[in-house]
Amino acid sequence: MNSTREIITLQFGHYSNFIGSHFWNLQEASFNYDENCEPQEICNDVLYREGVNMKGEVTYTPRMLCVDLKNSYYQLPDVHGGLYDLESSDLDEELLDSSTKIQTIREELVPHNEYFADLAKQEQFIDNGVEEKLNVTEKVYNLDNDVKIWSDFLKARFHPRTITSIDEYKHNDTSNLFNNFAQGMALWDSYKMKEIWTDNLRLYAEECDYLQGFHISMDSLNGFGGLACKSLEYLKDEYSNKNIIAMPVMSNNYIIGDENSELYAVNTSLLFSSLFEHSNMFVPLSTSDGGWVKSQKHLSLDYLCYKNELDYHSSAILASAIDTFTLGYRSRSDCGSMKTECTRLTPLGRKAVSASIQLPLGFESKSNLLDFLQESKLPLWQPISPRCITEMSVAQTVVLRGINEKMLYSNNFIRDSKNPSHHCTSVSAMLKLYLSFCDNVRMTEVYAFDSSLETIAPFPNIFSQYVNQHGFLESTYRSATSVVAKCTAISGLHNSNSTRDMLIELQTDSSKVKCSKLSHVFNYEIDLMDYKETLENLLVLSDNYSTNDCL
Amino acid sequence: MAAISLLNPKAEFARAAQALAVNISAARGIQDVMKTNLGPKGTMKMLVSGAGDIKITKDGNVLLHEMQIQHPTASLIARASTAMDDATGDGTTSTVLIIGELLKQAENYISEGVHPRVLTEGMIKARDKALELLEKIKVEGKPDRQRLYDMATTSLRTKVDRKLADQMADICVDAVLSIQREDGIDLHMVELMEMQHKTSTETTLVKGLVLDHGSRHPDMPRKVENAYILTCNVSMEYEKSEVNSGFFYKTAEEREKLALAERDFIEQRVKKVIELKRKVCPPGSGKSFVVINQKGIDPFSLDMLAKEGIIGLRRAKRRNMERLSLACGGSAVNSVDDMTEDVLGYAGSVYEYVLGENKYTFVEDCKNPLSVTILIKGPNKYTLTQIKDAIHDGLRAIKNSIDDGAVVPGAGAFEIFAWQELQKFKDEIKGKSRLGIQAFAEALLIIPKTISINSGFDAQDMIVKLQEECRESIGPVGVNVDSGEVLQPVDAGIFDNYCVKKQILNSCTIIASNLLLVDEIMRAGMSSLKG
Repeated sequence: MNSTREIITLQFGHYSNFIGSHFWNLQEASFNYDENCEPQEICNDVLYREGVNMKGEVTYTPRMLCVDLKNSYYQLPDVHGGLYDLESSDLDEELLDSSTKIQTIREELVPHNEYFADLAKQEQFIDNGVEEKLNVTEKVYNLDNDVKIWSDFLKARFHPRTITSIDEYKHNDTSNLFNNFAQGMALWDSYKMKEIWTDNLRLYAEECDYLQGFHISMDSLNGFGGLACKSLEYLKDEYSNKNIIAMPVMSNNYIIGDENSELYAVNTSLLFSSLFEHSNMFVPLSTSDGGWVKSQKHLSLDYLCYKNELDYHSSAILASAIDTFTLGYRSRSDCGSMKTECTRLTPLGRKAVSASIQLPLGFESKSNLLDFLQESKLPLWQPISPRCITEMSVAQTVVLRGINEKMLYSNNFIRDSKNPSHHCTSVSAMLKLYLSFCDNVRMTEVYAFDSSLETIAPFPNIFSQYVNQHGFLESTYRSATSVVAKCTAISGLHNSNSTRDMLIELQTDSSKVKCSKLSHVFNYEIDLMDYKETLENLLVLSDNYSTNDCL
Repeated sequence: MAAISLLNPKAEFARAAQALAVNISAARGIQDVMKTNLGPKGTMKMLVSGAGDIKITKDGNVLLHEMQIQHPTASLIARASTAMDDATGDGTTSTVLIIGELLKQAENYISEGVHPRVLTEGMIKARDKALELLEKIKVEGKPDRQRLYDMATTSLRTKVDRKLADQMADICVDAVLSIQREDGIDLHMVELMEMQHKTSTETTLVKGLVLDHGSRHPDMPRKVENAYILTCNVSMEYEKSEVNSGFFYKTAEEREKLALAERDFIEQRVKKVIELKRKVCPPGSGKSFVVINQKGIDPFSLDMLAKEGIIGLRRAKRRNMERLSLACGGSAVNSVDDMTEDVLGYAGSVYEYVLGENKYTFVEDCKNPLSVTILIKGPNKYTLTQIKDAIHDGLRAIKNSIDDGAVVPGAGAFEIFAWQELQKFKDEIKGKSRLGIQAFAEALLIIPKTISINSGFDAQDMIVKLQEECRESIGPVGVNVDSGEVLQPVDAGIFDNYCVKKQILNSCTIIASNLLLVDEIMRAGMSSLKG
């Protein structure tokens, strides 16, 4: 009997699904199909499930449910479909059988982008037994202009029950916007959510022997916050005592695209207040500093040149962060669980936690960890939670990946017996030692993993020219025809006192919105009084972060 | 120049005749699309999405949901019609057709200079009269099984193949009749279970429950007979304690001991269940025990249950807890302390069926099942959806006719009858509003017209025949879709729902008159008001 502690992933909204697509692509890229090699350090069974399709073939798909509006995605039959479908020849027989006349209405076909065209070709070659190979992993793609929606770069295949499409609203439909929290809450009562979605969730949960909890990401700027909030209430009810880590995400692109932004702060405050109540921990994520308001300032990493206004780029960074900071409880060595992680990071009701990342680490190709740490400046990472800094933390988890034990010291290294940093046996020990000297956070948990991020296509090509194919710094330019296939990264979760400022700013921003403008927004689920209470509540919660001497 | 363009030069607008033309053309556009799908001989539509997904249907409700309607007026009509379906489960296509036809008829008069207000007044009078006529023509009395069966076939034949429809009608009637109770019918008590099956397309009624999950332990029996059913909502899953309390231990054994003590809490619960099982199923009695739990059961607990020969199912659907107690008797318990013999249900046989990665558990041979399952087998997703949609509508139609205590003769009989009576009624009314009544009467004829066109007959021919017959015969007459002749719907067993007809008359008139009274369409305004 295996004892994998399963996690179910839930995604609500378009930007969440953008991040999700990158996340699942990253997972799939790291799979190893070689039977003889030793088991990986990361246990994929935590997030994935094994199944059998109608043809008796074994499938391996994410244990995930995602929700999005109608027309916000499509599934290409030769790229995404197929896992659970039967041969399409059945269809023609079926049609011939029925005596009634059939009228066909055809939408315009969705064209394949370069990457999908290559994937389809590769599949064909394999089917026909042709030896000729297309090397999709080593080709440089530029999909920046082709990617409009998340299925444009989704390589991973899903179980048929994974995607729920909301028919009430359409993607990018300006005449019927899905932009407020109350709409989302009302949507929960639809048949699709209340019956089908909950049933799909139950089927996943039923398969799990030791379900430990849920990862939930949701768009916090639009109506999906409300929908996610309702589903959280349902989870609390039906799956009480399971852990819930929520990740409200904010797309920069979404904010730029719309001048009517006052609802964003309102939606976000309503969501955050509900997350304080229903989740065990939540991590707001955004690459731009403003979060719920327009802002010029955005995350800048030394060795990345990405376009912040492209969801395709920013979501890739956030997905890398999520993939990295959750490694602690997804590893094969049984060192952590969601529960311990949550309780450690959220003392005294401080459920809002900020995240950080550095991608790639500025690690030179011939260098070693000791030299790298000695030369680097604090902090090692940049915050990816809006209005947050990572200093002044009371607790933190830091995960480093892509550095192995051979890289600890240089080859001609002379040990000083008195210097403790010269006697580290593992990467995590050395990082922990370093942080204990330089960083005055009391409770720090450090994990280190050998396996790096697999940043092959469809991961966007956003690395600076100085990063080589293995993700290390080089003094010369990388050739234009090669891609960065692997990448080192450090990412962390921090319970920082600066979260207080974030909550207060959120409260101020949303109270700027005139109540008269909001009255038409609310419906029977929520009214103005509830909303005012919510804002009060945010202030009360921000007080949790004010005492410096906690613990 | 419209006043709005003084205030907002960017505003788009259409005035008076132009506005009306926009509305009418939209209504007729959507009417044209849906026209071919009406009636048992209507065609199907195959919707192919950009990515190649297929959906085949002729159900108006499904079509309106799937088609992307851009025009604001058309989407208003579409929404009204689908709302109609939500309320009664049928009549979407008819609504669209009649609204379109009302506008078309009105257009003729308006182009001759009649004011829309006069027309709408007439229409409302005509509607009131039509509702009276509906009372007159309806066949009252508690419907017997045959009547319900006729009702269901009429509704289903307009949605799926004839062969399939007849088979499904039988199942639907049986399902509704078995869940019927004193205090009404709760259609939730009919579970629809889909099974994607490689070869067969078949729908069956299971007098009991089919659960979409099975036992998760290799040693549990796959099939038991004479089973006691315990339905409960009790967690049998070991969770680490809520507070972040570390164990303090010196040795590995000590740690083991502490962990065991924590588990003991859950173990006690499982032991309670086992105790009850031993009590009601003494060895050699030929009886067995099944636990169906809404919460989780972890592998250790499953192991304990398996050793006793108990089937344990975890994470049952919330609604199934209610269904189970209706199907097998007994009641669901929320705590182990409530577990007594009285709460147990009974089923003649419980067995598991495995299909690919999915397991199904059949709970059958119940004594007096007040909850049943319709099992749908089909080779692919869209067939399953098509059948499921149709069954939904069939069940609704049956429930409606039981609730109404009356049915209306179908095949266009009501429309012909109403036309004839409205002609007489018209003469009693003075003034121009009789034009509205005329328009309304003509508009109703779209239903028998379209039915005959879709069956391949000449519409005018048919209408004339029907009008003649209607004048002479005493009973209602309708279209015979097979021969193109006149038939007696009551004898042929073609019935429509009373409440659906009533709803159609009401909502069509209101929407059509609203659209007629529009004299200006504007698209302007602050984007912030869109919310």
